[in-house]
Amino acid sequence: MRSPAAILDRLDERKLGFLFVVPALVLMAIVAGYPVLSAVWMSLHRYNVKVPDDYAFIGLDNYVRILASDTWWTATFTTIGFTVLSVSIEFALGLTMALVMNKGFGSATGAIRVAVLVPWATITIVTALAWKWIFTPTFTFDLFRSIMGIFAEESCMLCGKWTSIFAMVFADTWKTAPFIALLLLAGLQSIDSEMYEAADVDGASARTKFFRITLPALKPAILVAVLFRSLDSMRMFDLGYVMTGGQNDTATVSMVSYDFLIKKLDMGVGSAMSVLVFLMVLAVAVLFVKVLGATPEGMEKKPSRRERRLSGQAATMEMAH
Amino acid sequence: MGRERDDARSGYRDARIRAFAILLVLVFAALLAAGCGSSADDADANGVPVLGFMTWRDQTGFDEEKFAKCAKESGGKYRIEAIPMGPSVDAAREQLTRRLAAGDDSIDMINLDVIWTAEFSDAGWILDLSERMGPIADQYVPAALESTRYKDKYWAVPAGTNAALMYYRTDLVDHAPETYEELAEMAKAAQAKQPGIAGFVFQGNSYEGGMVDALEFMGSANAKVLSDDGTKATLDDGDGATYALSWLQSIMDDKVSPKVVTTFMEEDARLAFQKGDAVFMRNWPYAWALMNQDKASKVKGKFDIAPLPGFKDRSSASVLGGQNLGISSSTKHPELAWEAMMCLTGEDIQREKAVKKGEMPTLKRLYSDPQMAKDVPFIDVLAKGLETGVNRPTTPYYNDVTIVIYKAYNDVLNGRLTPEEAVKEMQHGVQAALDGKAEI
Repeated sequence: MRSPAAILDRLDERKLGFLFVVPALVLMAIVAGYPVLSAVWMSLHRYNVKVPDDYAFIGLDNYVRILASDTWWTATFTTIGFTVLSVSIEFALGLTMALVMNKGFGSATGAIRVAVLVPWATITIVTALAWKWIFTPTFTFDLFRSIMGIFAEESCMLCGKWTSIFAMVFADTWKTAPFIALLLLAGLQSIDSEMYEAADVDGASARTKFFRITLPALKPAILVAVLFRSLDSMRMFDLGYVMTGGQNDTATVSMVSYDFLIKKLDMGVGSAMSVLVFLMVLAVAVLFVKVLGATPEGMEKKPSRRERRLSGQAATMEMAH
Repeated sequence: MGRERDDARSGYRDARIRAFAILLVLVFAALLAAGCGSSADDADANGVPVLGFMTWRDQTGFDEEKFAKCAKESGGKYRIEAIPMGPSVDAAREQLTRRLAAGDDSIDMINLDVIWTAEFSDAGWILDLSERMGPIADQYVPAALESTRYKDKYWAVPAGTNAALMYYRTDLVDHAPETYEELAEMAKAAQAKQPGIAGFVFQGNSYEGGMVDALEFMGSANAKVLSDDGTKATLDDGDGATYALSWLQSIMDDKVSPKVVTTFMEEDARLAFQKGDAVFMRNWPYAWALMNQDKASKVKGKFDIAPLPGFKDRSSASVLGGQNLGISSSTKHPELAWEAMMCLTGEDIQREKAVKKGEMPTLKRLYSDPQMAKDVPFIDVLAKGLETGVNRPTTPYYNDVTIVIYKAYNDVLNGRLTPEEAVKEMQHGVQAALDGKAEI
């Protein structure tokens, strides 16, 4: 008889490692895999909870109906428009904030970094409600009303499609630019100062240093930050739900799916929409990961830095002995 | 020597990690066990049946007190436990439909919004109460009673009703308008005297409240959404719908109503009116007490109320809001639930609710009651509103129908659709919804 321990001993490391990961994989299959598959399965059926008897397999009919509808395409373009606008503005602002914070503010540095995160830590529904009121001319501050008057008739920002989207982008930027800033700040701080020193010796301008050192070294952090924000924006729901409720064609794809799944209880069409949203998000993720994989410069530096740090540690330890 | 100390410390740490791991496993197991929903127990520790009552969250303590009162009066036959829902009609319905569709038997009684009757009865989620309601039906206000009926059966007990009112500023106009046409003229005159003020505020947002306003405007011009049997869309019969929407378009064009009204819900309208920013407001009775009590109110004693106007030479329609109590099909205590519902909708409680919560009674006799007239000064105005009160379309596809209508209504206000286009879109969309082919 062999004891279980003996069996484990006989496995090579790769198999043993796999064995240890199995529970996690099972858990992921239950909480992530099952719902996705079940949504795909439901999307192939005619199924409304209100009319439970009328349940039938209809193949890709739901998808055909969705892709032939104006509502869906309007929502798709709204979502893409919102994502592109909000992520690019947030990135530009976030990068600026990170560069400023990287300079440090003496003893206030820690406090400023925490303060900057406050908007990000506030619950979206709450901030959305506050922004909705700020953008409503009846209830807002006089100054803000005058500013809004430049963009919208009767200062009513939430009365038109693009002014509404602009308002949502504004609220979203206020909330998430600090998040990007902190991610990029972490990236900035891991850039080796020796590179800047070397550039100084070579007489490089600030501009050259930024484009030749800072940006390339920051690329992995930038990609991660932009990927996260893009995925979040594509799935945006709460902000729009509170600020516009989807009027003036400002509904995003998530809001349209919600209308069908939760309001109309149409599980078939609703699931098909969820699957489409899933595919859209997946496509963006794959695109980014490919781009990530296509930039070896960013990836190469990491191990070399770590090696340098390790060798540095070894050196200090030797000295201590 | 140092090594020994290290070993002792790491042993201590191992024990702590193990204890933590065990704790984690226990918590996880407990979560799994509890995972199937926190269902209210069928009976409490003393064996008294517990009735789960799905109702609006009430922070005033009023409901809790009444639950205890009814339980006591029953001689301890049951106990009522609130399962809070909300906060909006839409959110409450979403929460309810999920639990009812799953056959949740912790729910015995449901506080039904008047628009849910058809959908919930058709889905088999609430019990047919015809036998019990039949003998007592004539005690109730007809319009409120009507909202509990579907397919010639009674599905609930009318618990509270509501009709919208026209609020007007007594310092800016000298009487309430009889017609919407007159309202627009009066508003323009008042606006000329006081530039910057809004003439008329109401609920223009695309949501259930906007649906109610849309139905009132269109109903006042004699348009009906559905045929009596609920199978045909009838909005393009006659010119009623186009007439009402054209009037709305004209008040937007003439700036009688500001553009921002297209984003307004009930509270937005009330706050604007209370700031002194509007001459007329369409709102529910709840605003009356708030605007007289709220410290920030600038219109205290400067406004009055009237029944909603109608369109000239057409009619007047006031869409009813309100609550009915129904019994969930998955209940284990239908008898007790009925008893509890009779207590909760009894005369005393209805009277107190009208005074304290602004929820109007459904029992006819309370409207001619002298004490009520004293406690609720606007009850006679409200009674008139109830006379012209109409219910929202009764169909299991109500939710698809309402989305079509409030979107088109909001689009007219925003200038995205002409009245004619909007009527066409509503007619088409409603018919598709009734045929079970709601468009995407």
